[in-house]
Amino acid sequence: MRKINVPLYVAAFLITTAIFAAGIYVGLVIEQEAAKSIYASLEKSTQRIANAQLMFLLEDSPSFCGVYEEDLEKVFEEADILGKELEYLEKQKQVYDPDLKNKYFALELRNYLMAKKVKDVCGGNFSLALYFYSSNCTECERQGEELTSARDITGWRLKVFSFDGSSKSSIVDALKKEYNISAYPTIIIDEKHVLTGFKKAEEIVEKVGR
Amino acid sequence: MEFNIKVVVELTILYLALFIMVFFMLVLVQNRHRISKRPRPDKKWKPKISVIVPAYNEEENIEKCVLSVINAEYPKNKMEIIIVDDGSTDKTYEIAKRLEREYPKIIKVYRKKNSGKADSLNLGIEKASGEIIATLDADSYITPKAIEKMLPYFKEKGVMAVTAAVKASNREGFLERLQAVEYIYTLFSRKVMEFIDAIYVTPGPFSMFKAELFKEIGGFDRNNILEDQEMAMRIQSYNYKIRSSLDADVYTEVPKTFGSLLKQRIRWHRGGLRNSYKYLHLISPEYGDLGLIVLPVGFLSVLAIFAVLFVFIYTRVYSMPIPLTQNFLLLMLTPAIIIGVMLLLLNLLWIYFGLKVFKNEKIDLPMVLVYIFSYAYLISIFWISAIIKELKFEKLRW
Repeated sequence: MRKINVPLYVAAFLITTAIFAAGIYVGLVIEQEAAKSIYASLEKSTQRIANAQLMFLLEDSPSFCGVYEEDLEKVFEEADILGKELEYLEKQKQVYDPDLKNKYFALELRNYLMAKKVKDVCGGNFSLALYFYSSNCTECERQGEELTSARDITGWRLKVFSFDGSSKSSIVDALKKEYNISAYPTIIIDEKHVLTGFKKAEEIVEKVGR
Repeated sequence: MEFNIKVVVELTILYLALFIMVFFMLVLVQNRHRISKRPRPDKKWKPKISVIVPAYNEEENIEKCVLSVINAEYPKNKMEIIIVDDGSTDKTYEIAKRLEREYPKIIKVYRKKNSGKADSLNLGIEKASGEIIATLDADSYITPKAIEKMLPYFKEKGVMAVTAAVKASNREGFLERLQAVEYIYTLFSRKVMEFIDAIYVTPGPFSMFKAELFKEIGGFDRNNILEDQEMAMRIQSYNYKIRSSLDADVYTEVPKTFGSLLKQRIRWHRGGLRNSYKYLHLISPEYGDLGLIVLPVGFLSVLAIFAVLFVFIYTRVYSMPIPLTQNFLLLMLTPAIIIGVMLLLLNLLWIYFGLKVFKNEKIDLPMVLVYIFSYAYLISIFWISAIIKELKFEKLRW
């Protein structure tokens, strides 16, 4: 029978548990910070587009187009990154925050409406796509990739606004009613072309105005 | 934080890995003064030493190997070299015979049909007359002071075997340099294992044993493909002690190509699995830290490789390009990642201690970095290949 150094085992157990607990704690704090930080980015972006809309109400003459277009570009960029962050949160970390998603779709809708107005007044050379997907639709992931490549082919002249049809968001519900969405994926380009079912990037690009 | 099977597996592996790391760190800290301490040499004690050199097709290495023993700083009249030619088909036997003619008082050569290394060693043990028996691989050579540095360890009660500081002799290619670093860390780990009496291998390149040991526990297991490990496990099962010298330098040729390295490691790991199975009864508090920590960790680390593989497959590789925003950086710092980083830091500290112990060794810093960040993957490849072959019952040869 050999000797067992019991205090050594106890010390190792205590130190390990302490390091482990500290790691978990820091990790959880950071996780909360991440959610807060995404909320903050969303708020900032929403504020920016709301301000642009206010200015537009005040003054919608074409002479201000440069300012609006600049704001829009900025907001599109931010919304694109936010979309990716939310997707990562949901798919990689299995965190589903309905409030966060609802706010994000509200931002998407605001952006869409603003872009439509700017296009009417300033006549920008771009197309607007409403993209309806669902979390239980097998083709939607591939469709998302095709949309991204369609956007790249057109040199970002295609602006995509995404909405999750399976989310409990009241905003998405309203849009689904407005555009009679019953199947996923569905893409509506410039409120004229309705593409239902999986479509390749080339088919989407064809519908983008020149 | 969501609790799914992936997170549970991930955190369990991390906790166990952290525990093992902390445990060995504490052992090291507790025994820090023993690391550089050497037993006092006894000028009067010069026992007869029989060095057994089993050789199979080693015409290129055998002369250098044997001459390194001849040139060792030890009285020639207290030394014999027994070369056992295991039915070589090249000029090994002729070279050995020539050496025997040159040093007739020291060298004896025996020849037998090819029957494996363990058998060759046993023939050598049978013919040996020394009080101490050393085994020396024909593709290795010892440095002049190696024997003198290892001997004093036998003065401690219960010590039956002493291991040498085996290092890589060839260091040209990338893989050879990587193995050179690996061998240094193996030495360091083995020394820490010594402190808790848990050394589980007496390396074939060069190890020394008391001759009486073989009378009591028998010779090398001829059915074993990892006979040097089996011997150490057997010594442990008899509760004898193994000591390890950090400065008795012995150089061995390491595989140069990935193929030959893979072949060697598959043999090590398959042999290791079989030996662990054979000595499963050592996993018990009766065998102290060896039974409670070291042997279970061997099994756990194999399981961990598969657990990591599972986590990797479960986490579908995220294909989307991720913009480097502050939010994304925060999102990716999960508890598992943070604990993983702590583990990495402890690992770096361990490696740093190892480097400090071998401060006379020329440090190949780029390779140390490669070792830190790629070794786990390499080991995983070796283990998975070994287990696949084992499950297919593929025939195993030396």
